Amino acid sequence: MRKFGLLLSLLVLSGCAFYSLVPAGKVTVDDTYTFTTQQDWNTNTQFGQVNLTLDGQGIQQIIATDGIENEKKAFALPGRTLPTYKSSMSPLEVKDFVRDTVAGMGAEQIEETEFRPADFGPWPGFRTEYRYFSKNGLVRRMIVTGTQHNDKLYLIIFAAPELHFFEKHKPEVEYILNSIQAIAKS
Amino acid sequence: MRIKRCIPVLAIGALILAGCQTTGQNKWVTANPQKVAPQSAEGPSTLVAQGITRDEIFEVGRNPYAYQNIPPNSRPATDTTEAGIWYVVDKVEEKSKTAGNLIRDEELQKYIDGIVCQLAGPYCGDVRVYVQNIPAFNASMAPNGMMSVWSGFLLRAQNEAQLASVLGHEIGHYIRRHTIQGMEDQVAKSNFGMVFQLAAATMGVPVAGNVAQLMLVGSLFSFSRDNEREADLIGVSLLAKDGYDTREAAKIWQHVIEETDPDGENTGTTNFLSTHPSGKERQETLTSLANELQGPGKWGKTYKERFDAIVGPWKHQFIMDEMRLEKWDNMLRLVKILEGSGVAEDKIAFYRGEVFRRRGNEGDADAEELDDRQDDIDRAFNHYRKAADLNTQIPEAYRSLGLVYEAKDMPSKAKQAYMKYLALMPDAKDAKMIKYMIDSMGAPVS
Repeated sequence: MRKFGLLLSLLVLSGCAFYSLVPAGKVTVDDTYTFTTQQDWNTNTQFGQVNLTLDGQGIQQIIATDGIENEKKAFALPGRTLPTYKSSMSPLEVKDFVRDTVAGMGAEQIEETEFRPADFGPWPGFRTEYRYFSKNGLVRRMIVTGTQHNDKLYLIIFAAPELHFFEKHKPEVEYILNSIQAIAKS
Repeated sequence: MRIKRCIPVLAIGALILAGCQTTGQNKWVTANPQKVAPQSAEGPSTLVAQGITRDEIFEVGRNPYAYQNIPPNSRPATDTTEAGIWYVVDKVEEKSKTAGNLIRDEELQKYIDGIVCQLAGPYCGDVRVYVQNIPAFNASMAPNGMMSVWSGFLLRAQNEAQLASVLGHEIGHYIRRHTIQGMEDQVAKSNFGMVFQLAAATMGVPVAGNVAQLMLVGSLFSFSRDNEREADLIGVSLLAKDGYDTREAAKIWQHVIEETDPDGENTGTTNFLSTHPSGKERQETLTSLANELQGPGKWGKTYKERFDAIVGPWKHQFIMDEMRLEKWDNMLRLVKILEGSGVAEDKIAFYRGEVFRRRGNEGDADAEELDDRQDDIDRAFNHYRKAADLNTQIPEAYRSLGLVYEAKDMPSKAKQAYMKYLALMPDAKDAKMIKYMIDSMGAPVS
C-alpha cells in the first residue's frame, strides 16, 4: 500500500497523466464545443483540457485547452515565463500571446509560417503554424487554431516532429478542426 | 530501498568519473595530431611592437596555484583528475552539438570562430564555440574547451573589441585550467555534492542543451574571484596582442552593471555578476591594464564596422527575445544603453514602445493597475509615434502603432498604420489577418 502511495506521488510529481484509448467519435471540450476524430486516440482530460496522442506526446500531440480566462496563463508551468491572456487582446496580440506561450513551453527558434483568419466552428478565429526546434534539436511543427469566445480564449494545438509524423497526421487534424461544433446552451 | 542501495554506487561512480582521485599531475596527450594551430597572428600588436613575444603573452598571468598552463593541442592523460572532468563535459558537449537553441548560422559562426582562433593563437584548435539563442548576458568556458556564447551577450556587445574581450577572458579560463583549480578547491572543502550533482545530471539528463543544464555546469565551473581576475588579465592581454582597443573590456562590464545592478548592490542577477569581482574593482583593474598595455596614443581598434555587419542584423531578433523575459526595468535600461551606443533613434523609439506596450498588457486588474496600464499604453503610443515621425522602416513599428490606436479606440488611424505595415512588408506572415482586420474596421482612412 505504501509502495502504491509512493508510486502515485511520483506520478503526480512527474506530471504523468493517465491516458485511455477513446474510440473515434465526438470529444467534448469545456462543455463549450465538440470535435470529431476519425480514429481512436489515447485521451486524457485534466481540468477541462483535453490531450490526445497515438504513440506518446513527443511523437504527436493534440491539446484542446479549456477556455483561458482573462488574466490567466494558458498553462500552469512552474518556473517558466508564460504570458498572461487578456480578453481585450486584438487578434494580433493573441498571436503574440500564443507565440510567447509556445516559446515559454520550450520551443526554440520559432519560425512562424502563417497567421490568418480561420473559423473555429461557428466562431471567427485564427490559425497559425510554426516550425521550431525542440530542446534536443529535433525539428517540429505546430498548428494552432483558436477563437476568443465569451471573453475566453480556446485553442487547439497540434504538434509533431516534422519528419514523417507531422504530414502523416495532418489530414486527421484537419478533419478534427473542420468538425468543431458549438454545444447549444439550454 | 533499491534507490538507497544505488546511491553509494552512483556516488562512487560519479566521483570516479569526476576524477576525485589523487591529483596534482600534469600529464597530457596530444588531442588532435592532424590539427595544426596557426603560428602567426595578423594585424598590429602593440605588445609585439614593444618586443613582447606571443609566448610571453600567454605567460602573462601570475601563477598562484602552481598549475601549469594546459599545453596546446592536448588533453589530459586518462589517469588524471582532469580526464574524469573532461569525460563528463565531453558528454555535455555532445548534446550541445544538436541542441535546439544552437544558432545554426554559418556566417555568424565563422565570424566568432575566427575571432576566437585569432585570440587563442596556439590554442585555436582546442576551443570550440557554440552560439546559443539564450536571452541573457553570458558566455562560459568548460574545461575541455567547449565555449558557450549566449545571444544575450551578442546583443549587449557593441563592437568586436568588446566581443573579443569576453571571448579572450573565457580563453583565459581554459588556458589556465581554472576548472581543475576550482574543482580541487571544492574537493578540499569536502563539497562532493556538487561534483556528484553534475556527474549525475550530465549522465542522466534526457534534455539536451537546456538552460538548466548549462546553469548546473556553470555553477560547478564557477571560478574563484582570483581566477576571474587572472582571466581578465589574459583577456585584455589577448586584446592588446591582436590590436584591439583594450579600453572596451571595461566598457562592456560597465554597461552590464548599469543594466543589472544600477544601485551597485551586486545582487547576483546575472551569472557573471554573482561570481565575478565587483564592477568597480573590475573596471578599475581593466582600465589600469588597458593603460599599461596600450595607453594614450597607442589605442587599438574597436572593429565596430565588421561587428555591425555580421552581428548587427541579429540584434533585432535578440532584443525581441529578451522582451519575453518580462524584465521591464532591465529592458528600459538596456534600451538606454543601446541608445548610447549609437543605435538609430527610430529603433530606440520602437523598442521603448514595445516595452511599454507589453508591460501595459500584464498585471492584475485592480483600478490602480489599470491606471498604470493606461499610462504605459500612452507612453507606448508616444514612442511609436516618434518612430513613425522619424519615418522608421521597421514594419513592426506600424503594426504596433496600429494596435495602440485600436486600444485608444481610433480605428481610422489604426487602419492607416496597418496599411503602412503591409506596404513595408507585403509578404508578412500575418498579412491575411491584417487585411481581414482592416476590412472589419470599415472606418475610412483619414
